[in-house]
Amino acid sequence: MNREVGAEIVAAIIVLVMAIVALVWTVLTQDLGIPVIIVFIGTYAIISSEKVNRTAMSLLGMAIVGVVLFVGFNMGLIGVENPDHSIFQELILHIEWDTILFVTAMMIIVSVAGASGLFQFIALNIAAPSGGDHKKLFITFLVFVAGISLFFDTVSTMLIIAPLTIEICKALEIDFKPFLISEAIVCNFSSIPSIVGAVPNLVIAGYTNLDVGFLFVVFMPLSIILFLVSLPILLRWYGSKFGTTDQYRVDAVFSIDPHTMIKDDLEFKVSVVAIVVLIVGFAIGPTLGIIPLMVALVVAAFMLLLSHERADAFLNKVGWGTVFFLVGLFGLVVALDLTGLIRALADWVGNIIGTNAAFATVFLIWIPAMLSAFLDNLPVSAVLAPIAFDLATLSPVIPLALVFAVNIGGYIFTPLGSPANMVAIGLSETEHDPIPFIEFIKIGTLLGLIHLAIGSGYLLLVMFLLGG
Amino acid sequence: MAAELVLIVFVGTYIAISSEKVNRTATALLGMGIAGLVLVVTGTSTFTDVVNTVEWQTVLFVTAMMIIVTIAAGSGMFQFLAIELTRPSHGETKKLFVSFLAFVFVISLFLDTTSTMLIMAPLTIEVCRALDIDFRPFLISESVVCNFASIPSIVGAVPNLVIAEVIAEEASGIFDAGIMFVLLMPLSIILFVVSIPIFLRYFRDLLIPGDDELINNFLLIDPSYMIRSKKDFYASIIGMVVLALGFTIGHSVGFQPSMIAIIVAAFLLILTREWVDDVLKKVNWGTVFFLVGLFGLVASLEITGVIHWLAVAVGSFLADNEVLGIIFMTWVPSLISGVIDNIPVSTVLAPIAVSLVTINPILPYVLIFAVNIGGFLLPIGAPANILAIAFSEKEHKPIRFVDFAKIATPLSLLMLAIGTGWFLLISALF
Repeated sequence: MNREVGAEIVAAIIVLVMAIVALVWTVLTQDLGIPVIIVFIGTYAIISSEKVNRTAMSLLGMAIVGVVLFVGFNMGLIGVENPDHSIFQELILHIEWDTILFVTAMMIIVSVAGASGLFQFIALNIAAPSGGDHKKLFITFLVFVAGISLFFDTVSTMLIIAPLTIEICKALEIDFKPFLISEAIVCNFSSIPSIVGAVPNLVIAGYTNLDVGFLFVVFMPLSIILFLVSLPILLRWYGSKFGTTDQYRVDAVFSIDPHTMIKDDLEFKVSVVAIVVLIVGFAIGPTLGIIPLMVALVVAAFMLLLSHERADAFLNKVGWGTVFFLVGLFGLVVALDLTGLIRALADWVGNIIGTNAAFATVFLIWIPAMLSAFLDNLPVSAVLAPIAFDLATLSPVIPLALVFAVNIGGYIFTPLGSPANMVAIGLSETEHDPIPFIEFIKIGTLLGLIHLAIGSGYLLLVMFLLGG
Repeated sequence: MAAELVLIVFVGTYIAISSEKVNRTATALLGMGIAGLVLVVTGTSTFTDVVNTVEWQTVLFVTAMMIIVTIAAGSGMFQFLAIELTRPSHGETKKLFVSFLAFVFVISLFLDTTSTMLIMAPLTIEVCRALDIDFRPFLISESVVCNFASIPSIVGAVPNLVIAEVIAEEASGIFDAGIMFVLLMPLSIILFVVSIPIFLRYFRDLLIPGDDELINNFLLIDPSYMIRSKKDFYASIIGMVVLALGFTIGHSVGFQPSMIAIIVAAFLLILTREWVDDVLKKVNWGTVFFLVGLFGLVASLEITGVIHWLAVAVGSFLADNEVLGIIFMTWVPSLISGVIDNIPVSTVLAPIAVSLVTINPILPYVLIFAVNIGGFLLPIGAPANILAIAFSEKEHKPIRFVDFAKIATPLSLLMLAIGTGWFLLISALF
């Protein structure tokens, strides 16, 4: 307990020192670049230490960078686009609010639909035909995950599927750890064809004006190939753990009528309609100029409206920690952008790559993937997306390479790369049967490297076919 | 075409919200979505533009302030102070009544009206039940006081936050929290001094002394059991002092209120690390996203030019006449706030008040006064009143709308008259 109290005080002192160093540097050297990098890396280091709350730290990092920019602004080191605005306003304005709002809307939808028992209903229905054969059940779950990954971001997918997996596995006396690890990996790579499949996709699309249809057409076959390649590997890897459950137990579990899972009939029906509208909206909306955010917002608002007096309870269930973590993170990236650091990085990368589109593609697959392995894939996307946008003049495939890279990078070397993995590990810990990091790393890295190799070949082929 | 359609969506949403039959957050967000759809279908603008026109800085500011208030309120120290400070009343009903109101008057400067009522209402009910006296006069008076006592402070009420931020953003240099305090604090004290005798007279039959034995038992309670975390309390008090200094001094060097609020909120969150998620859960997200939806609607109105048109119309009606401007800004917003929630009224009127500062620089402060006083013109005007009524219903001793309006409506009209006189005096003097 005392050590806990110490950690926050130490963190607060480190933050203050960091802020002072950054400010002194700004004043002494008349340069904003290094101070902003100091705050960025310092904030990131403190968050990675996991000693303080990451939401609080990312917001604080954004606020400090705001002060640094403010000082720089008053010294005339940086200008604003709109003369009526202060520099802090510019910072706030450039945050990707549409992404924030989208994530919030999706979280509302998942929390309302989850409360109606819709997901349990579906899970019981799809799990029943496997009849106790663990392999069949495993495959069924993975196919299901691959399907819903297209419509929900990875965290929502895991929040939906992981509790169901644990429940069914426990009822059938199966080890749920292979299931959760595989689901986390599948939900990461199955997200690539869909703009709403993962938050990084949305961020990259926002920066690079990515064509939603193009993304889907190019990546859907790749995603299927990856699934077909991964499945035998996973089955072989975990083969020894799978068997069959005794018939009487299977009967006991699957004799439950899925309808008993429905907690509220009206809410259930509303959720079904809402999810259908959401999926149809995502699929055909963009051709009519209706962006996914609008579909998600309207659906979320409708669901809240119909849940009436429970609406505030649902709002409070949204993962506000994650939402405001993103706000702070985006703010930090905006600061890098405003001070021209991203521009400089892009120029530097541009120089290395030159005009060779094939080299650019390979570069933008492997480097971001390695970065996302250690850092959360969201900031990696936010920093690299403007660079991909610049390079898109070489070949339209290049932004796609980045989308592919950050999603695959989420599960190689460490599980820290994608929040979906952390959801899976976190839930296994609450069940007192934790997934060891090393277990995840072994299979994740093996599959990830195979996926990256396949993807590189595939994207180069696509580029060649497009005449690039 | 787009302008008319958006206006219809806007009015429809407001009517739906005012009916209180639907969840207001959901309705506002839905209204925003539909307004966006209209703009996209008519080809006026993209939804991304609507989202980017939302006053995100104000949303962040309100969120940061709510985090600070949540931490302060959760420490239990306000409850402790309330009991400790009302002790000298020795359980005498009238003295207790006045000291509770004085306490509400002071904490309203630091907490928004909703938080004030959330802290005070359960406490008042408990104390009154312990003394076996009627709590309804207390609750009604407290909600009236917490509304008008909020006017001198930016953090006193959500409408103040909204108006202050929008004005600071649109026309920097015009808004000053220091001037706001100097201008409105005397007015707020006058209103308090005027209202106390009226309350005492009006409720004289209900404010009867409690039983002696009950009073003795009450005085034996040790208030320190109310305290949950002293550390949080001191941290949040230091935070609020930094805020107050930042809003007044920081403003003169160009610090944005939202920047200061985010720094303070993030620091407090770091210091309360173990229960950050609990704090975040307790923040009133319903209100925050209600604001997002409203701002989205107002943004659509702005994009279609309706707000500009309205500002021009009001401006030409007032025709640079200071006296007319002050009277208009006092009475019109307050009458509207009486009928609909004062947060949406503020979001629409703040940009208009900005355009009117050329007539007289005190007009934005007049707007703050008006929407807060208008909040208790009718019981549904401010969330604090609704809370008071809801608490009384939970105790099966409901305050009826009529009970509330009988005392609050005349008081509000009286206060608007006093305020009009005050602002006319100020503008004549300077």
